Amino acid sequence: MSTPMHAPRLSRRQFLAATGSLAVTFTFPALVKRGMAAAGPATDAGSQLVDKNLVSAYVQLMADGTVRACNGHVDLGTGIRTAFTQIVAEELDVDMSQVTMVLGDTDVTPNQGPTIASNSVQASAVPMRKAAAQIRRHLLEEAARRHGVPVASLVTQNGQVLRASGERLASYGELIGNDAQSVPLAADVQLKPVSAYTVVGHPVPRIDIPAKVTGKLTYVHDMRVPGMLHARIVRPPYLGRDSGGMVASSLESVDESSVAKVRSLVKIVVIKDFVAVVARREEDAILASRLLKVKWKAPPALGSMASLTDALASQPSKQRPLSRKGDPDKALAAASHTVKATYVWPYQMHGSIGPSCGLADWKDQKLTVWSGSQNPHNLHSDIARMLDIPEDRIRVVRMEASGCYGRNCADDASADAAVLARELGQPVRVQYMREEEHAWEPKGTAQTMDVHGGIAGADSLVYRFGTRYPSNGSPLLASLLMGKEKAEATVFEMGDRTAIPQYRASDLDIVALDMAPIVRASWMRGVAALPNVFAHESFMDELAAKEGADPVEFRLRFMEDPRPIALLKAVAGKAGWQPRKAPAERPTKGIVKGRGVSQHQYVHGTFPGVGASWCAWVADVEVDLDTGKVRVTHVVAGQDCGLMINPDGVRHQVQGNVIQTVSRTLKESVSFDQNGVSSLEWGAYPILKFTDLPEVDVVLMPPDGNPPLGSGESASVPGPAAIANAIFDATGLRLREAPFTPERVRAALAAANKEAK
Amino acid sequence: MASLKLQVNGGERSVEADKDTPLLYILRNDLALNGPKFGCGLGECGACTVLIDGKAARSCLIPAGSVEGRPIVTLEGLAKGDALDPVQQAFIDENAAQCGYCINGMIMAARALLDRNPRPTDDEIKQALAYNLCRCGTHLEIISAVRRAAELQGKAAPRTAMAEGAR
Repeated sequence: MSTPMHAPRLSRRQFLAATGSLAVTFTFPALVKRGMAAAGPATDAGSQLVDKNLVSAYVQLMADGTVRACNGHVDLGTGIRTAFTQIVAEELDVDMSQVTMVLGDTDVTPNQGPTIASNSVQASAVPMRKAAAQIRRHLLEEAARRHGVPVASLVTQNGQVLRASGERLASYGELIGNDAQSVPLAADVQLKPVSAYTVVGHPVPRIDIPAKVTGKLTYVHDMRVPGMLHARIVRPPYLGRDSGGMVASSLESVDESSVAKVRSLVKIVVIKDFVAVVARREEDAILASRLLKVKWKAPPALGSMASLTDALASQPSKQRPLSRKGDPDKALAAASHTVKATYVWPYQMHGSIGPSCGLADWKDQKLTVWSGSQNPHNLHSDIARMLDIPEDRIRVVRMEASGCYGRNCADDASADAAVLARELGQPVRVQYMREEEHAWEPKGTAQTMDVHGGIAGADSLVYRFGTRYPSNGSPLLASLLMGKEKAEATVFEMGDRTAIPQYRASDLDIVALDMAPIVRASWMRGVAALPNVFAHESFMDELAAKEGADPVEFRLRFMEDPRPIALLKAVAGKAGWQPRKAPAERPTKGIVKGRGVSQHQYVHGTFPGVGASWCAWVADVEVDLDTGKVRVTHVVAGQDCGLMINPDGVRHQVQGNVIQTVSRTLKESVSFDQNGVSSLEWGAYPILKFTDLPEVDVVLMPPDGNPPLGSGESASVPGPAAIANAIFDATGLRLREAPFTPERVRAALAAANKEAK
Repeated sequence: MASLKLQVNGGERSVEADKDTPLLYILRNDLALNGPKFGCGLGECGACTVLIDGKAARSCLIPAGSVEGRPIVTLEGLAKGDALDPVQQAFIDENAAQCGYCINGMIMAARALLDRNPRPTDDEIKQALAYNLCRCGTHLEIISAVRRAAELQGKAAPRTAMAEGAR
């Protein structure tokens, strides 16, 4: 398949016109089919203003020798800007300082799908790398032609073409001149061998940090443009619920006189349940949002969330078989040891420290939106649909923002700003308040996993597994509240992530119970996989305990792939793992210590999915049986992600994921009342503090010639089970519902004591 | 509206605003100082931290009118010309930021800590930062950075003393 060159769009021409640049056509087959929205965030949805089949979409060499590289993925605080810069500098043989990365600007960057699942290095860097390689190849050929020497006699180094002897022939800039060029390219361009890498694979400092520690980086929250107004949104009382008849139909009245005294108030915008106040000064917008008297209908009561098992079990679902093998019923009947249990994961928040912010400007019938979105191209087409504006009259510019770890309200704040900018014909900045982000951010969904499995043979398992995941892609709030989009919860088939355990099984029955969200919910770090692996790896521990086997040895017996086997052994070794059996006696008071293990690969994307890194944890805990408080004191977390672009970056990401996962596992659960979300500030939704930190040791497996795999997020996946298993080791108590709060531990202890009597 | 006179980063700034406007909005919107960030408006997270009279304070809760005439230092005011504050340098050296949204608060709280306790233990660092929230999980790098900042300062201090002694 080839894509012909076409007349560039105005924006692209402007972008290229600044100086001569080398643009190379490049074709490759479309990787994904359309129409798979229900399978998760569509990897090819969203605007496509930049032709993905052009090398110039990824890498542009300027006449002054500088390089502009573009990627549709964005940096969510994970260091991907640095890693991408390394990749381009390496493949093109230029210094990193010569490369500027443009990430997620819909006029400039190709749509490479959502920035999810820590997939940027593994997938979206690939065409960029090929483009850089092709430009380097072209430069060698051009120098060879000009000097009448064979290409093979030339080398590139630091932006120059040299003879093998080291004699300089030309700089890159001299070779491309002042006219924009286009060079067609075969898809099978030869890439630099890993053995020749001098930048990739070596630790480099993050390029964004100096600006971040001096206040010089402009986050989306920091954008100011002339004439900019400040808006706050006044929300309906159905907090954090985005489906049902009450959406876009609950407003009764707005008393505009209630804000008459707010000095710099400019306008009150009311479109069905979308109510906003706009002022010249930010504090006045906040004041107006608090003073504005709005009458709402009382929302229909949210069903009880006291038992998540019951809430999810009563949500209509559709069974989707994922894997079936052997005869599970027969194998279970004959199994030597079996475990039947339900594991429960709570609703959790992304919990960005900065509530979402968006800025939009409507000028000359064109809309520019500055956004912290994870998926600027999807946001682009969503805004176009919401406002009935053609995509080519909208530009979404991704700015750095507070870390999001998934779908927070970044898109919503941007869409709100777009609505208001058009209403007012002026730039409008929308900043969410803390309680607003807490209430309305699409939650990482609760999930329940039903397991029934056992030991079917000497080295094979029988495993029956069903997982409920009531979550979708969370349509734009503004679109729902204005009644532009119907508030009908769609079903996303994403519960299948890592639903299949990576252990030898003779008999399998794995199903996803797909269901619509109960409250507003969307993907969050370790999407579906983290809860699923909590179940798999708790189950393995329960089974090992029943058999009286050591949890590490027990797992190794059923593992087949040499890479995770080597990883588990390395992590156990680093932790000084001593073989252990289930505790013989159950302590009843004082502080007790224990350690647990867990391992799995993170498999994400449309089923059967793509494998990212393997990860293993050994966690040490202290449990105070008098108070019920659990402390994770030490974690050894190991990861095999193949080639590491920036080993320092990988290490920091693993550490960050370990700490966030300890927080999620010990502390975090969203609470609800009959209106909706009731955790509306940090006091009601505590996260891990400096005084709760574990020590962390990171084990990074040598790449051994393996290509890079998604990294970081994978490290969160085995965490919850490792902690549950450590609590069991310490106390003999099996906790199957997270978070492991003091109340839960005390309740488990009381139940066990009652049973013992 | 009133004319407020604020001492910010060593200079006097006049701003027309209500006296009860939280200092944060004045710093950001009127003085274009983007270091302090809005995180919660409730004093819970620490993203908005500035130094007032050398002590870490949460600018989202402090009425601007109440700090007229008192020295206010923001992240932008830490460096002396091109020379970064040792705390900033240490955060760069230790790669102590992911998204970086909380980092203003971490640096300002660390600066205040080192001013009152130049050689803090790890426990003292953790206590000083206990009410600054980070969601990316950068805590371990941040602790290393504060430790390193204390070392950098410790190394710089004797040199200064010697230089002064020689004068």
